[in-house]
Amino acid sequence: MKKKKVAALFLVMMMALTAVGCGKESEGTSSDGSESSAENSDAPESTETDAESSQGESTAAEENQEPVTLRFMWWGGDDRAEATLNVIDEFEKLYPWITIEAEYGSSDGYQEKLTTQLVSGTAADIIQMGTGWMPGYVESNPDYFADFKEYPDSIDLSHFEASFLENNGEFDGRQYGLPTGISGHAFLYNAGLAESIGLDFSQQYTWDDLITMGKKVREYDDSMYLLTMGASELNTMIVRPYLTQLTGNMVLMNDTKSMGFTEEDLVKTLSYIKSLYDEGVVVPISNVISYGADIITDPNWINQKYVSIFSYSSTVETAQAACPDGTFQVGRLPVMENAKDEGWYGNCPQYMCVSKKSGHVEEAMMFLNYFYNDEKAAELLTTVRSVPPTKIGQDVCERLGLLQGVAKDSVDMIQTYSGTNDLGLTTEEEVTAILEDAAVQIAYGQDTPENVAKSTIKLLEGYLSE
Amino acid sequence: MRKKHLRRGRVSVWTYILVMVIGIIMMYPIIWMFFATFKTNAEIFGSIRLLPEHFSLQSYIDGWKVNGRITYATFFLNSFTLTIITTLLTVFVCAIVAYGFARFKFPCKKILFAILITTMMLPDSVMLIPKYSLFNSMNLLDSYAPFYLQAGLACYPFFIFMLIQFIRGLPRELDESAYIDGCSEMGVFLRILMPLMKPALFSAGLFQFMWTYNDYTNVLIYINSVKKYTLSLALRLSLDAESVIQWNKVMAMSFLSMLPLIILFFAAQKYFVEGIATSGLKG
Amino acid sequence: MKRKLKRKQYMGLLFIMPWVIGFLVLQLYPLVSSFYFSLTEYNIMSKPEFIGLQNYKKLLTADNDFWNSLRVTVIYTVFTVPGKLIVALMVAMVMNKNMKGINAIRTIYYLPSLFGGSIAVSILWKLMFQDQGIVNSILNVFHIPSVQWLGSTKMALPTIILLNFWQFGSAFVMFLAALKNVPADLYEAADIDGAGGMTKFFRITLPQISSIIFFNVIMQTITALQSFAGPMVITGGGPLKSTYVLGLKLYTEAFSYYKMGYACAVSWIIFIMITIVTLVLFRFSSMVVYYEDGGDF
Repeated sequence: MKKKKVAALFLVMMMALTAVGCGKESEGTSSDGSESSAENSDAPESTETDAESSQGESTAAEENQEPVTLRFMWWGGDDRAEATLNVIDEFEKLYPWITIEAEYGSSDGYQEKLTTQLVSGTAADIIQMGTGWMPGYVESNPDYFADFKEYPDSIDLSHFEASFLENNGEFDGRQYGLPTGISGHAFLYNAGLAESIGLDFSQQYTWDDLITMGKKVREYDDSMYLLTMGASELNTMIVRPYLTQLTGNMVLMNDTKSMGFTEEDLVKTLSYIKSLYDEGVVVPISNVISYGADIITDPNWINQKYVSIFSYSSTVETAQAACPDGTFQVGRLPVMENAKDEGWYGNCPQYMCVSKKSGHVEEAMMFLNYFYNDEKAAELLTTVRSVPPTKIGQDVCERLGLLQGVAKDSVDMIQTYSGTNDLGLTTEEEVTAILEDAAVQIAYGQDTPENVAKSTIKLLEGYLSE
Repeated sequence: MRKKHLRRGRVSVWTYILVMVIGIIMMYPIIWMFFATFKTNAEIFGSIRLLPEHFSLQSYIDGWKVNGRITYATFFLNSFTLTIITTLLTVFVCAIVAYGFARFKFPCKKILFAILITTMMLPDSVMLIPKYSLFNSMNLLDSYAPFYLQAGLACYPFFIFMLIQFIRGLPRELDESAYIDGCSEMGVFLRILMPLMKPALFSAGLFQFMWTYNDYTNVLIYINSVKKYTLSLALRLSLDAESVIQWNKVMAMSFLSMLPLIILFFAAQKYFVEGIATSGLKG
Repeated sequence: MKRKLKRKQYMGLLFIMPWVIGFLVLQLYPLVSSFYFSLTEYNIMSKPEFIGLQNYKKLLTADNDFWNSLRVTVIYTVFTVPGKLIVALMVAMVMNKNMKGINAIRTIYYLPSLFGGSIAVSILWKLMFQDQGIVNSILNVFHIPSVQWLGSTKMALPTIILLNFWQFGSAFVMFLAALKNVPADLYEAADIDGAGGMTKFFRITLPQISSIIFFNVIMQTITALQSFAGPMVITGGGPLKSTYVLGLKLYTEAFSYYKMGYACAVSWIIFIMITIVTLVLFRFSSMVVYYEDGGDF
């Protein structure tokens, strides 16, 4: 009897112990593991490698380097993963003491994971970052990311266009992010359909022209629509540019933390959206809302019932691929007469950032220097993150004949516009939700533009007062 | 045999037909998914036809290879390792804890039970970050240890509660007579209750297996290295709005990843539907 | 009853030790911290700042979304919990019979629940329930007009509830196991007394499996009040927040808006709701749930 009792006790204890034991077996994370830290100041010697000359060059003094492990986290499809892994391999050949652990995955849940890691100080050394999240991160803690400008010995920024860098990734004079490519709003249309209906998007047109063209489409075939738009497009492609063109201001102005428009402006904008639905220019919202962010999976898009779509340079190719039977072209973007600001602008699809908590900021910078400025790297990366932002990358892609098709056309197109980049308060998730809601309420005919404008302004005031 | 028939009754033809018709509806998703593995994106999204235009194993071959550096063999192995260990630990430890709650009277029992139930009531979303930082401070990130630790320390009140309910459904006379025969407390558990709990243990095991196997959020947060990814992470690897997703590959791998669960359920059900021969013991 | 003294009651404490340790080490801190955070202005990435009951006050008085979400959550819970359990019990009763190929049939009925977290399923739902999807096509065959299942603000929530019924698997498995435990001699005795099917169901089956039904009611209620995965994947909470359940609001506040303090307040309100419901259910259960151990807990 006694023995059995002891055995029982032992069993219970063992279980607790084995559980802990399993824990101890695991390897620690690399983030805080190794020894040499940011003071590894003699490393950059080899980083002076020019973009052009890295190939085949054996780096000096590499034997006495302490081994360094960096973690690099990104999201993206199979092609991006493949290309990025190849670049890592090449880099590791040149800098044998540096190991880069790739942590790639889906965009699904990426932000949650990144937030958790940043908060806990466990973020990867090199991070691919969504442009929309960055202002929030930087505002809550300016110490998350390293300023690229502080490491001129490790990374050469001269191959980027200075103004492009300033608009993409610079916050209060600090370059916390480097743009991964050139991107921007895009208008993609089914050229075959447009031709048979008699629509022309190659010349500048106005918002009102869109309505005229929309009616034409309905007259041509009443099962067709000129445009398909989800909640997100209503905000990014109409509310924001329309308001900006009307007022010359961002929707929410970052410097004064106030609204850049009046109630009247908002009523005008919402009334325009109302007319888009009243006139049948845009597909009824209830038909497309359930596709969420994937409006290109709508069978009517695939079966060529919609003439055009608002998209981004980084996604026009997926929109095109979704409808294999159509032929597509990139059109101009609508601008109202006497616009105070063009409202459309080029930006980038993501940033690359370096975690300030990384023990090896300089090595991380060195990697990104290779990533952006090396010809071999550019050959491997091609356009997996949109049209490259550096001259070197663009030249390589040009030489390889990769700069063609709708993605390239849309990048060229967006560069003919010079609207103000409204990244910041306007693009915060909460503001985005408020603006989307306003547009969707109109789209559903839930309320009048006047009432929706009032309630929206109240919500925005509430947000700004926090 | 005759007794069994008497008890369970015969099934009418109509019941049979009804069961079959509903069964087809139940099977529709997996049938659709199977055929989707042979379709192009335009076929998947653009038409409601069930059958594909062509059959080819290419999506399975391409999908399995991922990107030439790692294959689904690794992901399957990782998923099995994580899931099997977690499940065994959970079931065994939770059963013991449930036994403690169901059959003993000790100080503060009511309060402890209330706490047990309470831990289920707070939504996981707010626990995510504090828990993460706990495991971070124990240096257990990027390993399966957080899962094993939670299983070994019975952090699944769902299963404890479930097993308590099952044990309470077993007559106390069973263990009382075992005590008279000289069994210890642990002996009663292992020799008398465990065998009788088989159906409950198997259903708990099945749930835990399935939930761990399908878990995305926790694995996403705790695991960083691709070589430690489980199937649920791997299946989403190529999902990205900015690249053209080859859905047939995703579907093919989703379909393959579903098979072990189906086989497991098929094989395990004979245990959890196994009747208990308690009738003779009750008086 | 005196015989009970034979077992050493303190051994119980030893048996529950793994859980006690687990609670103290892994669960207590997140629990307590979340309550503290609910009293603070706490952007996930900065230091929490104590503000008393401000979050709760704002939630209850100044946040229209909250009341909408509460309403949606209650509707969702009131319909999914009984719906799912009734379906599960009915299927379990049928599957408890001797049929040819019963193993395969049970597996088939469990399939939708295995599918739960799969990405394929979220795509499939959208495809099935879209305007020209298969569901509407079938309706049209019977001359029923098409329905905007996910696109209309009135239908989206019922559709999501309906899709939830489909995944009755976990309750189904437990009911199956419980039904097998009902002693056969009870039915035999009832047969001898000439009792009908209904009488047997209400007098024998239901009381005998009541502890498991009770467990499922509690668990499904807790799950339903917290749930957000379904609405998030299928409708994203829309259209016009018609499926914006509290769990989704909580998740959005925490991970999209980084308002952890506010999110914690939402979660403690969910917590209080669940506590009240559970307490009521436990009270109620002592009247109707039958335990073999004589209700001695």
